[in-house]
Amino acid sequence: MSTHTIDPTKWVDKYSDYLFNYTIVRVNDREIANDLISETFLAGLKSMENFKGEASERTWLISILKRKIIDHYRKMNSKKGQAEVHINYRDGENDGDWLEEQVADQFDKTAEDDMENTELGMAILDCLEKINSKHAEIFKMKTIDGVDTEVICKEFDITPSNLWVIIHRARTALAACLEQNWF
Amino acid sequence: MQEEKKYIDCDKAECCCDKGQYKEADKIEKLQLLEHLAECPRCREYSEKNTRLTELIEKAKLKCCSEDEKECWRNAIEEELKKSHSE
Repeated sequence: MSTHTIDPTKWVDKYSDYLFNYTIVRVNDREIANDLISETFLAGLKSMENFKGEASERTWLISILKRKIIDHYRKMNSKKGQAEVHINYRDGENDGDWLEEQVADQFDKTAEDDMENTELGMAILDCLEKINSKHAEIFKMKTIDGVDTEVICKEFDITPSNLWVIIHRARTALAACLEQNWF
Repeated sequence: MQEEKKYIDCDKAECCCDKGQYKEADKIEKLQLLEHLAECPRCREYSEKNTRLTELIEKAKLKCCSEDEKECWRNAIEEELKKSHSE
């Protein structure tokens, strides 16, 4: 039974930050990430009839984006002509060390930390999707983009007191949500 | 000169604590918060959670899209929807 609806006019406001963070850690280039998100939105529009409503809109968009990212790497590899893997299995007296030298780095602490931080970032954005959208937007501007209080107040036509009440509500809701889904 | 109210209530303490997370609490607010925290276990817990939340947000290294980028996507979607409606 279909439980989710689709509304492309809200995609950018609702999901662009989530899609962006999902993509940037995978392609590590802002311009490429933006292109892939554009392609995802357009592909989503073209295949809207295929949306059955079994998964959420965001999950559906992420599945399209995943394919776009894979296509991006396929194109990159086909341009290079061959995969750049150079493992020397036989190297005289260092014979047998290749596993440690070539493989260990892929699973080092930094990579694990990066993965965990990415998951944490997605969990935070997940939680922000569940709170009042205006509060989430103001919270992101203040906390993630570091925009000045004065600038936000002007843009949303609110007083600094209003802003701090909104920030407080967003922080409390976010902490409660993370406590349930992350800690 | 009006003397600053020394003891603040929990709402004000939480507000000072939030401002502190963004380094926007002034000296008086910081002092008032410290005084309040010394006597209020509930707000101490809030303050600890709030600091932990800030650490987590920093650790996540989140990025947001710029308003220009968003506007560009909005326009592209709008145009595509217009096209599909007129077909």
